[in-house]
Amino acid sequence: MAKIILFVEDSASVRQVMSSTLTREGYQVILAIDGQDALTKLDGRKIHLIISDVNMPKMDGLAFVKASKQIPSYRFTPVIMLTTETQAEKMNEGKAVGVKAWIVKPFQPPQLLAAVSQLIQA
Amino acid sequence: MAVGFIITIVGLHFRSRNRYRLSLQSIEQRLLERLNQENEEKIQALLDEHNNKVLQDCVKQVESDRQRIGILLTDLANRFGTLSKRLVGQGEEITGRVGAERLPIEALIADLSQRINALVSHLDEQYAVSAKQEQGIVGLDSLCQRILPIWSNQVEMARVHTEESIADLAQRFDALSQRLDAAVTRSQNTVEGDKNSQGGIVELLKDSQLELSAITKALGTSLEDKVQLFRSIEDLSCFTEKLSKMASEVSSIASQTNLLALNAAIQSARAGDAGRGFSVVAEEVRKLSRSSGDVGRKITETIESVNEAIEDTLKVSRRFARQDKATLDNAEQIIAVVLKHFSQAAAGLVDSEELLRTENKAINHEISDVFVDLQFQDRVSQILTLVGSDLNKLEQHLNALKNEQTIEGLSRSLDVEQWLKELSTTYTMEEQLAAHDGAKKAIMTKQSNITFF
Repeated sequence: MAKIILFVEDSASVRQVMSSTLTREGYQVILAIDGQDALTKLDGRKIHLIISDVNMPKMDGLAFVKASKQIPSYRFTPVIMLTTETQAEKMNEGKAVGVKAWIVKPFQPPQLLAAVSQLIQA
Repeated sequence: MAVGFIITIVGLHFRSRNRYRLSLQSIEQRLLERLNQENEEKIQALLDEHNNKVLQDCVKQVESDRQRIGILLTDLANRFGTLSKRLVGQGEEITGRVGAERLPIEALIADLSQRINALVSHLDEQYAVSAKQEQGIVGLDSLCQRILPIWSNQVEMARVHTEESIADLAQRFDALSQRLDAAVTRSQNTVEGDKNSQGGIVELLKDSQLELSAITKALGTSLEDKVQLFRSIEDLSCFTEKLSKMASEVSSIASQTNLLALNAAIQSARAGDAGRGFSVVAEEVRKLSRSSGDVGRKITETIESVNEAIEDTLKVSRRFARQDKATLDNAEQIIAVVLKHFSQAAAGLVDSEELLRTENKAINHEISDVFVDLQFQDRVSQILTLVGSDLNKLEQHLNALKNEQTIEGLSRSLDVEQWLKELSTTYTMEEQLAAHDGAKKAIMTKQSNITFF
């Protein structure tokens, strides 16, 4: 049974490549273009991991993570933030809302895959 | 009378008691007045003493405050001097009193007031000059109001175009990578076999080698069986020799029997009539011996024919055996050569497949690096979005200022520092902050580390 990952990213190129990379690694990927779109995907289905950008239109990544933690089914779903954001304040904000890992763009796909594997097995 | 006396006595008693009370009241009154007077004097003395002390303290405090105010005014005057220099220009001062000896407070205040008036006059002049200058750039606001949306649209168009192109590029690279992976997998399956136990070329070659070895082995075994058959036929020729000898012996016995019968006939003739019956027997024996001799000769002839047939068969079989052996040797050589060629071809295929796999790995690594480079688009997009947003904000602000001036006749104002401060809070990358502060910093292209919480 393939593990399911919700990938939230407004950049089409990053969405395209990472979706393909994760699928090739055997994961099932659900795509969302911003936080608001991602919340509609949290409809009770099992999701093993969430990967989200921070700066997105309509609803940013941190607000989405905060909202997702209010839904009992996804309270303990691990979250990786994938962002250009380097400021410590934002990182601390992420940590406070329950983010497990913070990856600053640009990143190597294997780097993200390693983090995904680590958090899904944990 | 007695009653009258008693009444008189009681009346006297009350009178004397009343007088005594009045007397006491009088004494008490005097005592109170004296005490009040003494207390007032003491209080007055204490008040005087206290007032003197408070007055002295106040004088000291006032003196101290005056000194402190003097210091503050001097410091203020110095700071004002610095401010004046900055506003008016390097080395230029509003008044020449900065740095002078300490002056009385009133003089300091008067001096400061004079300098403030001078600075205000100077600033008014400057404002008038700037107003003239501002009026000199005719149409700048209108230009900004019209050009800002255009710039904003251009920036947005560039951002969208870059995003679409990079997304397309990423998709193409991803498709290339997938096609390459599929080709390598197919090649690997062809050479080594796939997961569904379908043998590859190497396995096929091994199987063919085994099957061909089995065939040549079977042919070898068949050849050995033929050799064994030849030996059996050769053994048969030995038997025919024995049969020939036995036939000769039969002929010899027949000849001797015939001779014996002839002697018996001679002896029976000599015996006359008595031997006539014996003569018949002798004749029959002679006939039998001749028949036996004939049979012996026929056997010999037949055996010779059989011998010739066997000899001919052996010759043909030996020739076939030599041909079979030559064919088998030739087949083994050809099979060995063909298998060798196949092995070389398979080894070449294995090498090619290995090379293909290595190249695929290297290309995938390159594509991964390309993807890292392509992520610049996401960062550039954020920068452009922010610039576009600030352009829109400026446009809206200019529109608002224009409306204010038109409707209410208010003077236009723009807090530049506040604007820049607000802009700096919207940055997400260190490079943006560095660029904001005037540093020229390239966008980060190296991969970063992961922070686990």
